[in-house]
Amino acid sequence: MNEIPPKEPLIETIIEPATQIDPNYNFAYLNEQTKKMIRRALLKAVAIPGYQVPFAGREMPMPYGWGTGGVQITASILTPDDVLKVIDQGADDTTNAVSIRKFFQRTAGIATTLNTAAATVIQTRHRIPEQKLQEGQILVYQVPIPEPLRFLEPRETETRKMHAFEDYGLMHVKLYEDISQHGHIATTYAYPVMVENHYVMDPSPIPKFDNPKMNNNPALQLFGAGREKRIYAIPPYTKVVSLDFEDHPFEIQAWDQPCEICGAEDSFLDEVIMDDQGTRMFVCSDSDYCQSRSEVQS
Amino acid sequence: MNSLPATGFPNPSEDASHSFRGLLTAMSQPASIQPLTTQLPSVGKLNPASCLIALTLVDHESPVWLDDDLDDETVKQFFKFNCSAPLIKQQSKAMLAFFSHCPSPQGLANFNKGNASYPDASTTLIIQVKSLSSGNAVTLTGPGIQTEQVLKVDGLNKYFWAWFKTNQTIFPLGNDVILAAPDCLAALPRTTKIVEVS
Repeated sequence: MNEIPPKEPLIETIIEPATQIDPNYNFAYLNEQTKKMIRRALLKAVAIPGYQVPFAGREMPMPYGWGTGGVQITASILTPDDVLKVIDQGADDTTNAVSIRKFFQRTAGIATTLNTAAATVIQTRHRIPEQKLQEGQILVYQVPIPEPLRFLEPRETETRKMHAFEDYGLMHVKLYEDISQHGHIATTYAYPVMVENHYVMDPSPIPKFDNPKMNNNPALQLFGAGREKRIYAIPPYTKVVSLDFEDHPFEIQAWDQPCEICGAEDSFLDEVIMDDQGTRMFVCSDSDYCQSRSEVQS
Repeated sequence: MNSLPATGFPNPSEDASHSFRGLLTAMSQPASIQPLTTQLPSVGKLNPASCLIALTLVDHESPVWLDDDLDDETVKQFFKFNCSAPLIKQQSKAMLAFFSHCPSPQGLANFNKGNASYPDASTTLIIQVKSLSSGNAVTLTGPGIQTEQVLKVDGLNKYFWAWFKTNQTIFPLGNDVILAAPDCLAALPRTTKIVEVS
């Protein structure tokens, strides 16, 4: 695997300054008691890396599946001094990202940015930014199904015990079945990881390309599942290993061509269909990474 | 009429957000020293850091246990008025426990350590210390620490680190500790390992 080279520093960092809070809302939407409850759960999650802490998830003004878990975490950790970045599949300009960014501009009057390095809190759906994160930054993941064993064992009482006993044989069987059917581990996203030699954790549906970035990351990583009402975390500098076999080691995706916009060979590429003749184009999924590379080149 | 209980945060929402970020940083970077983000007066024997933690984390859903020195009317008033906290005597039911000084290992034995299915049910221990800038040094490692972190603490008794070592052996069960000095705080989650105690 290639090392991701550090990004060229931008000439100017674009931060949209703090705005006026809509006076009809408490700071960051949630009431103070809800925040206390979530904050207690967050501290437990950080103290037991990879373990899913139940919390009394609230209804948010958006449907489940649109990041209600991530939004509740972000609302509970934001301070008025923060700079928030929101990405959806790596992009700042998709519906989900734009809506959540606007939500916090309105309810928290928060400063926002598209620039990964300038952000103190990054809420993400299904990607980890290409640019390396720094100490002090917090990455908040939106999680649909927090329990990696759920499709193998539907009963919560049982999966709790399996985690307690570190009984992860079933997960290895699942990966082995991939090999027996396809000749390789065919899981490409939400690829299970083991945190600090104990808990097996669902990294949320990030591509397995991003899994190695979770290991020993200087930033704090928080995971929120709103419908399932679970919070879990990876503290900075924590060991995160993708499950694999000695004869079938973990591998990440690779492409035959670089990004057609910025020429990056080290980033996760999205396939974009260009017309109804089947013409296709591969471009970076991380819009900030792609754009800043293009700016440096031009 | 009783005297008015000590007040909480001047700006409740904003102050709580800053103090929680301090606590979150403390817990995710064990043994790092976090300044107090709001200047609060002591309440009885409850020092400013403990007051800050109480105002940030305690509400009617989090039973609180107080040690004998803290178990007086002023402190209880503070918890009831500002946090609506249920104050309880049963150690195993406490979500947070506040200590005016470092207890003996026996004094820590009966707090909830969580259970195999729900290790998060454990009691968080807030222990007041004299200082986090002087005193005996201890070298620590574990998740959240890049290599090693040295912590100086004045105010822990000689049994504390032995207790903390046994606390790690029952991971994922165990208690998380927050050290509350008059002017700063630091956290020791159950994952933190002792390299050396000088």
